[in-house]
Amino acid sequence: MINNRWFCEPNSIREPYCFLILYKKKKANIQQITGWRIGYGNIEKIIINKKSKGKDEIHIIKKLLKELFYCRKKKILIITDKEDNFSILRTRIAALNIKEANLTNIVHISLEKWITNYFKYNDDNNLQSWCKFLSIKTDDVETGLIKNIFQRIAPLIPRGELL
Amino acid sequence: MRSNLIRVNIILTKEQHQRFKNYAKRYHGSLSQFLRLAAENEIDNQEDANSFYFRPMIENQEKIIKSLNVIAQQIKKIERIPSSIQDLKSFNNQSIASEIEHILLMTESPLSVPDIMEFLTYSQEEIIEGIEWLLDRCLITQIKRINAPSKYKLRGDTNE
Repeated sequence: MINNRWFCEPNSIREPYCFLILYKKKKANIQQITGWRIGYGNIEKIIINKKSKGKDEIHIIKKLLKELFYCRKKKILIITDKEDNFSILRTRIAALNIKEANLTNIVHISLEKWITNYFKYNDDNNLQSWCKFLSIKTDDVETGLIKNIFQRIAPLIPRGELL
Repeated sequence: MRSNLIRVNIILTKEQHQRFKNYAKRYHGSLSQFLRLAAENEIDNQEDANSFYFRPMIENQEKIIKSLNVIAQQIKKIERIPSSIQDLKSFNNQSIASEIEHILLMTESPLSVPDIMEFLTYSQEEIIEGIEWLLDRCLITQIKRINAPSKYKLRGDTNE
């Protein structure tokens, strides 16, 4: 025992989850990706936060692809807010002809899908509304909010969704 | 010169040549005969000396070589284990996790890692990985204690 901490405790800085939020902007009827924010962590806390924002969409997506590859390599489950995040990402990758991109092995869960499928909720589908619905404080960064919502609803979701 | 012999040139100083020649004439008949014998004796003596003085060292060396060969074979075997060891590990975590879950369900009371280790034969590290797997999937909750290892109970279990 060192500093009253026992060795036989779980690793508190493990990163089984990647909480991802995509910043999008509609320009000439096309959804463009203007940035992203990622929080790696577990159900209790976020360990590392990463973000990218700017005008160069290709550069932003390439940086995101690097993080997604890391998730694939480390078998980290990606949790996003919106159901259409990955379809928008796929569309932009294809439209911008970003070579070397691969999303075939990416496993992700969207809070939107869980909330609409498993809860009686008919309000706006955005983080702030969900937090209000679940009585969660909104004074955290977006990835923190995703983590807090996930922490609140994950134990109520059928087991197969998380395995 | 006979067909089974080979001619070699040996470079000597004048003094050496004279000295060897005199000695050879006296005891061996010819310089060639003397030098052949001298070379043979030198090799034989050296081999004898080696086998006598260095025998323990040579034996040790042979043992080390054998051990190294065994290690090399073992390494080759390990390399043959599926490269997707990560997959294997996560599968293993899942199976240990389900065993831990079963124990928590059967005992109906919160258990710490040492408690769980009394039921399962896995290492502490493996049990902790199983617990992490269950915690990440919200299947168990951690009861933190001061100066004692945490206990774990199934989420939804109201027994304390």
